[in-house]
Amino acid sequence: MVEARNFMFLFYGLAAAWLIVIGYIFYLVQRDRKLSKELGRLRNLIGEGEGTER
Amino acid sequence: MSGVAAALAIARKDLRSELRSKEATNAAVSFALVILLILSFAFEPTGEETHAIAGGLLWIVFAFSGTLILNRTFARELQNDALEALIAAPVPGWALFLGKAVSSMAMMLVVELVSLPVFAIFYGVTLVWTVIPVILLGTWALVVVGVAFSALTVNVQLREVMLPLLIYPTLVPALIASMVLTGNLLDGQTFSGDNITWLRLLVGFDIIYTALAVSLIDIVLVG
Amino acid sequence: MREKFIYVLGLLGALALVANMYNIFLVLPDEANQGAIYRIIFFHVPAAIIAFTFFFVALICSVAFLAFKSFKADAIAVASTEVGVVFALVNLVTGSIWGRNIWGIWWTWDYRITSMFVCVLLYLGYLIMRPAITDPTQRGTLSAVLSIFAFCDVPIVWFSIRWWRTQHPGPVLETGGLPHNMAMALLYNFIALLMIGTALVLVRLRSEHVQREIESLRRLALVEA
Repeated sequence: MVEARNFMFLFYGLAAAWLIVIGYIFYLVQRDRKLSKELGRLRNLIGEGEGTER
Repeated sequence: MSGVAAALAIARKDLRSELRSKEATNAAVSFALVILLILSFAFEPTGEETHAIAGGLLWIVFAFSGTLILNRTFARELQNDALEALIAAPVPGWALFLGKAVSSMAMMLVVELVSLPVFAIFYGVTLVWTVIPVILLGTWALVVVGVAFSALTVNVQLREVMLPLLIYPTLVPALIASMVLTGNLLDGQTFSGDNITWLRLLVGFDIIYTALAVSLIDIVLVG
Repeated sequence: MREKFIYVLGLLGALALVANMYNIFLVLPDEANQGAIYRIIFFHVPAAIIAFTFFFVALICSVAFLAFKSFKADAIAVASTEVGVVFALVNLVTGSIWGRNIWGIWWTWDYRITSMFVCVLLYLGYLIMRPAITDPTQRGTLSAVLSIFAFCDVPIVWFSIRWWRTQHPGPVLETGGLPHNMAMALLYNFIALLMIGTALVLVRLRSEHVQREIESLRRLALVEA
């Protein structure tokens, strides 16, 4: 049943590849959320004074 | 002041300062001896297999203890704004780099001069003259990359951690060549056949990285 | 507008990938002695090529930053490097699993896998160093120099390790030329993954812009405080 075992490994391999990419996408999404929140916070802190921007 | 004279002046300054305090070389020599000790626990010092990897072990000692010296190269200038003074001085960037490289090379050679006999004694290795050019070339590779990255990381947080992290992958070709050559030469081989190719790799690495470092050092220091 | 482009690109890439999957799994025959596992090559090899493509893009942008002081170039450099490292990791992991299946060992220290590993270490150093520098101009300059050093090192590492590791012959990865239908599948997968990779770079780029805006706002807040 070498055939079947090789399919298992093929599955593991592809699963690993996809998990890495999807993990990275999750990391990007999380980063984006965190940064957007921080941006909103800072904007509120400075106030709506868009004119005082450098 | 001509570039070469400036480089020599900088090298002399560093060496004189080091001669008075001996902080970097003392630390590096002690570290080298400690590594030799620990490696003797990891590998049976006079065993057959250890003799085969002796070349590699020697360069591990040099590479690791070298970072202590290389870290200090530009870090020593951080006090009293000495670094700004050096950058502002009418000294060409390449002269500053070469001066630092020469002084680091001298310090590294001191460390190696002390560790080589100890290594030979611990591991029952007979040293041969042919090893000297390899050690010089390999140390120059270590110094050139180390000083360049030392300048790069001087203002970076976690400098002491960043420097080894950055220079070891970069040094892989030179380290492999040095390790293989040293191992072969200590084994009794001469500069022939394969060893010539390794030597060529080492020399090529030295030339390429010296050129690269000298051309980029201005950008690194001045921005 | 830009966001829509990213989504379309990513979606196209994903669709191309799925379409190719049909070909890879159901049409192409099994290989003689490897069975089904060889199909991992359709991800393993493109991942490596794409990683190096993105590292090359990072090099161009680093030089552009040094020459023109363009922060846009710096942003593309870091985004490109990060996605490049991800694809390099995919290459290493799929290669490792493939090796475990075929040769029974997870790691081999042969020249390709070792040089890829060193390459990952170099660019990881780049990604680790960046946050440690606070001033944006200095960060851009130093990472640009590091990117140049790293890219110059990759071919040297490749040749030296190849020369070293073929002295003690280890398992060989390639089995020779690829039949035409497999080569086409490889090409299609490469294009699909490249599209997905580019979409990821663009997303990371947007994230980088948000971060820079935050930094400049922080400076503003400090001034006003």
